[in-house]
Amino acid sequence: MQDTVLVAAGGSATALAMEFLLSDEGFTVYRAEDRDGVHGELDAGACRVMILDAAFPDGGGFPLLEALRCDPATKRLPVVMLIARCGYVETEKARALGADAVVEKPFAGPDLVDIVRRLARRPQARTPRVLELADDGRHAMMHHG
Amino acid sequence: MGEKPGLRLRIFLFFGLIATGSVAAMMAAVLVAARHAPPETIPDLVLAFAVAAFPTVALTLWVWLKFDETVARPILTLAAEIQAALHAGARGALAPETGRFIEPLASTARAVIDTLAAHRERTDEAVAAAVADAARQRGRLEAVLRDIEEGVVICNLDHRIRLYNRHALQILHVSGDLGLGRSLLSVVSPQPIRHSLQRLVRRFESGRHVDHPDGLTALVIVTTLDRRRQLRGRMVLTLEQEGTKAAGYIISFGDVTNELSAGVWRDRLLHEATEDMRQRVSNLALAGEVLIGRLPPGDRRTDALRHVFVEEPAALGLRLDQLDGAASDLLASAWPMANVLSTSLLTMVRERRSEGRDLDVEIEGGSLWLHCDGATVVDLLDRMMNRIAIYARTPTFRLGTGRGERLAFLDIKWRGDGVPLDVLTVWLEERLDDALGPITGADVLKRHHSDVWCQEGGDGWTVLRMPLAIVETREGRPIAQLPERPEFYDFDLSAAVDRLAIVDAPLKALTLVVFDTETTGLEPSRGDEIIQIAGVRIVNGRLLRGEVFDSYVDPGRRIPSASTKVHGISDDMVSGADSIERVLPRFHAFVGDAVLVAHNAAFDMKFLSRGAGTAGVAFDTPVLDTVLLAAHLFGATTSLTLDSLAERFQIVIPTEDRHTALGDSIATALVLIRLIDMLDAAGVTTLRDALAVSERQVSIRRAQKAY
Repeated sequence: MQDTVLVAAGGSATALAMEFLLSDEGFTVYRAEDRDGVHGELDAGACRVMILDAAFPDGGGFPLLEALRCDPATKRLPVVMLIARCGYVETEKARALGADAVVEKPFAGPDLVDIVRRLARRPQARTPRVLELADDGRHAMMHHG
Repeated sequence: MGEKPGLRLRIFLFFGLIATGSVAAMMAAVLVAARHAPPETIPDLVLAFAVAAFPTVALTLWVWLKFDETVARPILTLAAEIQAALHAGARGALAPETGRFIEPLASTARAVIDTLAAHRERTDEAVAAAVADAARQRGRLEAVLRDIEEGVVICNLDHRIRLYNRHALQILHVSGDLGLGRSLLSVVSPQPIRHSLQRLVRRFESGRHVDHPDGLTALVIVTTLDRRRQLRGRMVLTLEQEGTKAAGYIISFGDVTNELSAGVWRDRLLHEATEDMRQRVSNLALAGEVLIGRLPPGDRRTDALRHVFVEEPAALGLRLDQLDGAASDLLASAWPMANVLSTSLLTMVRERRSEGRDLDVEIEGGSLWLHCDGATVVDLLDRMMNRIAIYARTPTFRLGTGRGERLAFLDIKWRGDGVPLDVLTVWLEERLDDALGPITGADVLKRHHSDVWCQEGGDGWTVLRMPLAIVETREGRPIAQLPERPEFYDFDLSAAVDRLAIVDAPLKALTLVVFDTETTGLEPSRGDEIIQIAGVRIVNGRLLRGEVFDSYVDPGRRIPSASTKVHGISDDMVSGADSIERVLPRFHAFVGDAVLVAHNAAFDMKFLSRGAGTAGVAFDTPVLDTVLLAAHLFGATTSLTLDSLAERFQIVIPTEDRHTALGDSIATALVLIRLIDMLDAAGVTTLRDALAVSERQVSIRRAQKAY
């Protein structure tokens, strides 16, 4: 069973690049475009790790993180927040809302992969999927692992 | 007025009495004589009576008339004149011959009237002179104010305008006249003025103005009545003559509307631009890495190109950070940010009671100096508290100050439901108190580069947290060399070795966490505690920029001043920080299953293991010591202090970072990267090799100590 990663990132460029990056490293990658997509993917199967962009469309990344942490099903889902602003406030906010790691853009691909790998190895009851969320509605690549 | 008939009437009656009495006496005498006289003499007696009586009465009447004319009437006239002089200030046309016959009285009365009038004149002159003098001074002051470019307004403590200049009229955009005695608060947004005056009065009354860099002045930003212009004002508290009480204030205004809006516009533009650039660069970099990754490996040029996709975005990221920082500085200089004590802010929130709700608010915790715009922050927190009171249906709140790694927090705590970010966003779009001008809660946060969110507060409390910049005052640290920590050789390295597969991995490929601690002292077994832990991560031979761990720890005991002199950490910097029981698990999570490295690791590990027991975590990954590794390479006779190793590798540690946990961690990490390269060249390639050479160094030192 491959490690599955859910990527929720506004902007097809980011989502696409991360999908390639992670699948080249052996992960199974899912993308979701909006909140419904996220919940759909999380309900349908288990993701090991979720990458969530703060600039996520459909309400923003932080409110989505907050919602995920309120739901007992996704409370322990490892989440990596991507933030575009350097600053302690965003990092602190992400941490306070329950992110497991914070990555500032621009970041080095290998760094992200290391973090995802480390979080994926955490003992977990389910294997979460990784959802990538693109904001232009391309739902083209949907893998199921 | 009623005296007039009174006196004369009395005198008349008196004389009448004399006349009547005399006549009656004469009649009585005649009657006595007539009793024993023959009847033919009666007519003679009556005649005799008449001859005596009429002249008597006539004489009495004549004397009365004369008396009335020369004494009674003059007396009354004099009295009237004196009255007139007393009450109406009249000098009186006192005819000189009036009162001739009551001479001492008349001249005295005249003297009195004259003196009274003279005194009156002198007083009038003095008053006129004083009024003229005051008018002159005021004229001079007005002349000075006229020449000042800024609008100046002088008010008393009730904000009533005492004086102002023409420019003030222009700048304040008031048509007509400002009007002396009018309240300044009706001309500009009142809350910032009230807030600043309150602050200045407090500062004066507590004596802090003596040391305060701003003395008795404060900056304030207000909007004009028509809400179109924004003015920056400098308020100075004026004191009464003895200097013991506040009397009012002088405030000088300048129009900063264009400056501010340009600044805000520029700030927004820069932030949007840098954020967009970050996104784009990030995408480019990732795409590039993916493509490179798909090229056949092993080609040196491919590796170099891959390097480009890693280094360049990082460098650009740094640049964007600098740009962001510079933009913030520009904007910050326009707004009246000041250093405020957090408890003062929270007290003002409690007293604000803008919606008149009956809330039970307590202030707890320590105090920190914060850099912010007090008036707007107070209003924002007050608004939040009021909204939460309705949302969570609770009237009880606790306000506190918290401290994170680099930020301070203003916390609003209550028991009840947390507020989701979506709801907070709606609340923040509301305009705050109109008195501040047309700004929303979101504007205030943006100005402070801050945000608010809800989180668990422990013990069933929910917390609304707002981070702000701390104003750090560090103790000066001596430049002199300080003794390195004592070396411990009791630590057993070999325990975890065989269990792990990573032992045979090359050092260069390992994930390492280089950490350092600052402590209250050098004796872990004698009650010294950790007060700061920091760690940085090295992955694949590279120091990760974004992932650091840096936390103060509350040691639960006093920090000796000798210790503070070394690392600059004082008691109030750690008060409010988490205890070791809460920090260590976070650090443990940060470390994960990386290999731990420290300079003189045994010392730090001793502290770590003590805390680990109570915190319920275990650090059982292998540990490397840069001292031992360096000893293997350079021999034990050379200096192996962090400073000398850094110097040897030409690693620069800024002095203000030396002896901070994070600064030392970074320095050690950079040293380690070089050591690994040298060790690789010397045949020490894997973790197992490194642990082996370390063990050998330990036994060498033990043997040396035995001597």
